[in-house]
Amino acid sequence: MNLEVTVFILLLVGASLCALMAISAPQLLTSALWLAAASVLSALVLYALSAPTMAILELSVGAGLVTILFVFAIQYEQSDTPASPPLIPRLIGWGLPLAALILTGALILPLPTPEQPAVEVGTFATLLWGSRALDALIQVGLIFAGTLGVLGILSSRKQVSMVTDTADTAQPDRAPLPAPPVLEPTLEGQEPL
Amino acid sequence: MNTPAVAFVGALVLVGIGLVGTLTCRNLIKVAVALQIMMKGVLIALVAAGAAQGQINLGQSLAAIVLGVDTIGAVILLALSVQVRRRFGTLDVSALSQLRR
Repeated sequence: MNLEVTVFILLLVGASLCALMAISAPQLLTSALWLAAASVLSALVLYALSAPTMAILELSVGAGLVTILFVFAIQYEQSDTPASPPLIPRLIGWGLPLAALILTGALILPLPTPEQPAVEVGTFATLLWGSRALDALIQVGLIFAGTLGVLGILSSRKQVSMVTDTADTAQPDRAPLPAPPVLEPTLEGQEPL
Repeated sequence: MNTPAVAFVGALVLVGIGLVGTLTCRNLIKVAVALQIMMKGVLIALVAAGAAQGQINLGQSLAAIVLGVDTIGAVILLALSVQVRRRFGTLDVSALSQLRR
């Protein structure tokens, strides 16, 4: 086992430990920070797999943007509460995924080696905007739909509160009615001034 | 064992940890964290598959699409969590399922 594979295994073990800490941390903010650490180590793994573009994307989006969103959501709602016990028994919760992983690993490992070395059909940009143009187009539509969905979700409370305010306390924005004229008492038979 | 095979094993472990978190966590934000961990395993598996077949750019292009979809999913889930917390005062998944009664 050479040095490259050893470093690679260490990176994967570190990413797995960070992921384990992320799901077992009692505080949500700590969990988000462990997730960011797992993202950084995943980016290093991708770089070691000779995929520098995906490593940069994972580092900027996975470790940067998503972490900021998680921290913002946790701080916005002040929902940093201790975790509650799981719904299903821990034995089943750990046993079922472990059995599935062992079966999957037995199916795909050892990896089949290609009979003849494959030739790259294009660069990353050519493949993304050429061969996967439909996927990229659908993803652009998905981004717009997701943005509109998030705006709709977050603005629904404002609409409800506006309706409530209008029903409860809102007053029409108009000038008050003029006061009725006050007539001074006059003596009988005398014209008012 | 070569590098892509090791990467596949690591990806399987990450997917398994995410699956355990999805099954055992009751907090909605914790479930979102577990889903993110699963998707990191999927990204590594896609790139490793490309590396194993000698077509790393194809694996990268697939992983880039998956990363975008995953990020949108995380954003929508976090927005739903914020709204659920505002309306119902809790992020517990079991409490949310009891609201149907």
